[in-house]
Amino acid sequence: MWATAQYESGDWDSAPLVAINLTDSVARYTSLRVSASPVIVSLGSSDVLRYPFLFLTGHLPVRFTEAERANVRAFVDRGGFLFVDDHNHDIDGVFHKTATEELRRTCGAIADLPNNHELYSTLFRFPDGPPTTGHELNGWGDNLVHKNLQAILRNGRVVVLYSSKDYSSEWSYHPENKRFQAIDNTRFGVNVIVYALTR
Amino acid sequence: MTVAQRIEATRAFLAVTTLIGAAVVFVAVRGLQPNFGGVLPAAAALASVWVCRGVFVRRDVVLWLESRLPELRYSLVALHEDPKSRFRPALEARALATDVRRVVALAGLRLVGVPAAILAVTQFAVLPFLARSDAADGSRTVGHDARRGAASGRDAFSAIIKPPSYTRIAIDTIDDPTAIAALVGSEIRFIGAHTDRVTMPRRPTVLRFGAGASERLVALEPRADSSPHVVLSLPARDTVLPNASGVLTLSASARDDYGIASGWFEMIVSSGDGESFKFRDAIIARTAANGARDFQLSASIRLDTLGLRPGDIVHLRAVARDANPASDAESGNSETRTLRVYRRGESDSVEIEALPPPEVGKSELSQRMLIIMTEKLVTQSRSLARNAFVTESRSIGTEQTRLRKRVGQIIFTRLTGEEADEDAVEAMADTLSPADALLKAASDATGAGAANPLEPAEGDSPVIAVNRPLLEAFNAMWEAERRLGISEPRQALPYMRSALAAIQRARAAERVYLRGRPPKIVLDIVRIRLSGKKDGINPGERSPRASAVAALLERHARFSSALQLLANDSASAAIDSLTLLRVEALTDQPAFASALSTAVNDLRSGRDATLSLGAARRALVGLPQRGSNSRWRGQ
Amino acid sequence: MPSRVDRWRAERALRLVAFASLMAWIANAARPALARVDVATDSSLNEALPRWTRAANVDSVHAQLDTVPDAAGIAWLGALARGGVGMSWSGPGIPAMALEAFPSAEPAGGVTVLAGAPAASVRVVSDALGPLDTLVGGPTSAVRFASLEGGVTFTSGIQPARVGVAPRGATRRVLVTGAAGWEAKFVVAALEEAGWMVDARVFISPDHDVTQGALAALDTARYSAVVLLDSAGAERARGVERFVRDGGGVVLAGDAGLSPRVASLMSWRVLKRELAPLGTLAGDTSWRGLSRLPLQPTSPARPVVLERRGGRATLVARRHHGGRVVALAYDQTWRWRMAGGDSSRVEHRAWWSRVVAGVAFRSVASSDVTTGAAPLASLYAALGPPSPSVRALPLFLSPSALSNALGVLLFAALLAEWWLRRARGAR
Repeated sequence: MWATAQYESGDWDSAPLVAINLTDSVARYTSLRVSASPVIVSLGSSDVLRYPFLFLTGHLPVRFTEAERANVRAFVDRGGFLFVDDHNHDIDGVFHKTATEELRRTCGAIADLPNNHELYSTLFRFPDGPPTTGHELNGWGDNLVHKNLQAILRNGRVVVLYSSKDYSSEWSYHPENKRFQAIDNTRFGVNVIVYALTR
Repeated sequence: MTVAQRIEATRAFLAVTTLIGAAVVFVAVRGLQPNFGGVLPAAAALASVWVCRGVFVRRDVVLWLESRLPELRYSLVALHEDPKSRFRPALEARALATDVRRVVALAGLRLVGVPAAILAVTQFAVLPFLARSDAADGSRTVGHDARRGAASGRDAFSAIIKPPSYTRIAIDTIDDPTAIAALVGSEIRFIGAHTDRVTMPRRPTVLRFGAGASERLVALEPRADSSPHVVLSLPARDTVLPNASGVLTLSASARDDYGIASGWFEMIVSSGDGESFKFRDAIIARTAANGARDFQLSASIRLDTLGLRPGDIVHLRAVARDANPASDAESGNSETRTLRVYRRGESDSVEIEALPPPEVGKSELSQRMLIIMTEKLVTQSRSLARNAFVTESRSIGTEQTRLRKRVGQIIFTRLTGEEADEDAVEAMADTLSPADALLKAASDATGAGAANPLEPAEGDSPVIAVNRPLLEAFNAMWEAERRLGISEPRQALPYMRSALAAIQRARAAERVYLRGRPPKIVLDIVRIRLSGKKDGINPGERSPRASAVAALLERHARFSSALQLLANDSASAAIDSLTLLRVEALTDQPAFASALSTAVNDLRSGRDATLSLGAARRALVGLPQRGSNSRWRGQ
Repeated sequence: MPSRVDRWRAERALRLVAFASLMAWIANAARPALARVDVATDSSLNEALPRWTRAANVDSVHAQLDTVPDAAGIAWLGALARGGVGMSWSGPGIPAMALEAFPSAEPAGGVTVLAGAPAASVRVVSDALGPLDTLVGGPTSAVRFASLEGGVTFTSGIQPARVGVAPRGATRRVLVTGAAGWEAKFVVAALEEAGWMVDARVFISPDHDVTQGALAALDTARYSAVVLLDSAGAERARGVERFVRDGGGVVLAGDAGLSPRVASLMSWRVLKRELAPLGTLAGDTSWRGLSRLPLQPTSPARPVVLERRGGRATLVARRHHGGRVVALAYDQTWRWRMAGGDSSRVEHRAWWSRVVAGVAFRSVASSDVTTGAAPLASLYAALGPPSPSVRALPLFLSPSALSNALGVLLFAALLAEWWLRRARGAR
């Protein structure tokens, strides 16, 4: 159903358990068809067009190759959904600077997503916008609690969702450990996936 | 050279310079009055020749030389009047002895220079003044080049297009313009029947001149300055370096449509792994390109000066800045090459089961915040009253206690899989070391024997291994809490920092994995399906997407309306409608805009536009479709 | 100078001519009256029609045609025939052809033109702005034009057929239901991008749906068509059969046909899912994705098979009372849109829009526009079958013209003979 994007320039695999964990959450809350094991797809390959939802994270600079840039452009133009999360949680960090520059060049202007956007009420309700993460509350990275996610819209739809909140750290754990949580912190991830699937 | 030859040479030189001067006069006057064609300029040129007609007459030349050079003492005149004079040898000797070159050169310079000065004045002073006058009162007709334009007389006007200076493109003039394609930022000046001065905008637009039946539309079609194309030729590919030494050669080339201002290499060095990275960036070999369209960039780096360590990654790319001074002009950049310094054992990491996100981060005050508050208290210790100092220290200690308990609960839960019994943990903490108490409580809860978590053990389960830093944090917090309780915040700080470092290690430990090979976990979908808590699920309504064809339909309707105008013999209105349509389509439907351009030109020139309008329609709505499902009309 | 003998011979010849002319003139005047047939061709028909209407000295008239006259001409000819004039016609070169144009129910508009004519002829469809398309291949063609100016003209050889396009009725909403997934997302997106107003209901769990629009009961007052994307969508659909009876349209995609709820709408079976061979391109229209569930028509009410791929029906349609049903074998068309060629997004959108338009409820709009034409057939209907060709006599062979000519010849011969005689001194 969806895949983790593997790109050339950075540590795309820095949050290896996010994919399986979110898949687990989607299965727990919905009857959407999901794959039992996660998929990794190279951003430079045309296979990206087989997975209309891609998750991209890392700490290191994001510099797309020509093939990656062309694929991302085609992916977005055709209605794919790219979810990018800054694993550094640092808007002064290289991931943020390079990823936002690449996305702007490739897909267009990126802007703050209002906290009352449809994305926050797709399945679960997040009236205050994107949920905070432990990294934010601990003051790590840029020591900021980011009020908004950012997005690139096409035809009124989010096609690129950019997070500085480090959901990669927040969600990269074994799915079975959800049982230790009073409230599943991946619910927002399910919202994002359901948004991509239904909007 | 004989005297006769000298006189002839002088005459010829002066005649040529006179003709050149007349040509310059022609150009100058034509610039002033382009609407009158060549009549007035020709008259002016002839007049200038008439004024200087003496240069064509041998006798006048001789007299002129005698008048300018008294030292000739009428020798030239005498020889001219009587070539067979018996004094000829003496006269010739005198004539030849006199240097006429300076006088002749000065005369030639005057004959060309004066008209050239007139030309300069008309081009740089009079014409701009006239154009400004036109813009001010709109009443003056400056004119139009009748040689090329279809329009004439009062409707004639021209556009003078001056591209931005950085492009170094010459000024161009279009007579009777209907569309002007030029680089964004070009200055466009209209002279003649319609005067205006505009700057080429970023988006296509239409200028309207005049009103009513005499209204003229001019489409402005901006051409964008593309960003430079940059190719990094060295290093040619991504590389893993065995060690960070030697010289790295960098080479890149850039090309731009109008010019490049400068170029450089960008370098980012990433150090670290897991969750902890540090970055350094640098600009290398910034070089001015001075507007060149093709630009080569090269540099070399001594790798040992970068202080690279095993595992570090160097990201390199070349960047070229467009000469376009616009603030939003994009730089061009090459693909990025990465050089990774080999690190022993980087592929030997042990896959460890990861843990849930530390709930520590969800507490009211993070450990880092407590450190900041404690540091602030320490700096204020001299200025604060003792009571206030003690109260603040204990307050921080209380927060530290709450945080410690939260960490304890997390560890307890992770070890036992059950919710922590806080009272049990606290009760035992009075008699045992905190960590031991915690482990004992965990052991009791699970029925397992006591463990010694602080001593590394070969057989530790991954959960114990990952929790070890948290246990250390728990101990350090306990010690910090005790120091804060007795108002020794300065002594508490090292423990607090140790606790923070331990929490960070615990986080990092959660994410140790084999690079490129995520842990293989296969979900039992059937088991977990719909097992999540349903609380809070409340799907919101979907909002509809906007139609992608609405704009096309609107455009098509306007195209049809224009055709109706044509059918009703309102050709000029149809042309205006199609021109507006064309400008709007330039950005998103260039093929349609191009086809419309042909149609509009056909209509303007009175040719049959059926084919070109048909082509425009095809470009707008596409080719006919033969689909299998078009056959069925449901009957 | 001719001798006297020569002159005498010439005089004899002239006398012979004069005598022969006299005999011929007498014979012409004395011959019995022939049946008089007035023949007109395409170019002279407009002139002949008033003459045929007025003239009483014509026994019969014959229209020898290369093209079918316009409607007024046919009506006039028909009136003459019914009015007792011996009317016949022939037109061996007129092609048998038919043309129909009807507006698409798609929000983007467009007109579908059905045209038939002999395959050997040059067949061109045009409108007021000029030629639109040249038809090739078999004798019949169905072509969809996104835009037409005025009516449609279909020309086969030199024979044109012209029709107008009736105004399009109001377009109502489309309901799309199915399980949440990429197919549901991209089908809804395609229809909305194509301009359809979509109500949607996609199921994300047994207890929860994502909806769009005020989901009302299926009713042709609100919906033009309903798209059931899968069996889940079909299972939860209520009142589909009644909706179709009332004139609504249904699209059954993928395995929607497996639901018993829609069995009464089908005259086909949904076969087992086939997977595309390894290496199949997502843009391959044999698959429109990477899998399909072929359809097997069942007797006796065989559906119209609109598309076959690999010998299997992949697109079938039928009428059910007042409404229409279309079934698609494709269940992963989103792959076509995402991973097809450069224009796959537009193609996917247009294809889905056409599928829905094919079944959409059409309100009856009153119109006096002629939307169908079959020129040769209309000629048959007005004048009956043609007769063999009749060749009209040349004008100079008519009795009066012949009589005059013979008289002139007689007079000229006598005059010449007299002159020759006087020239040789005789009297």
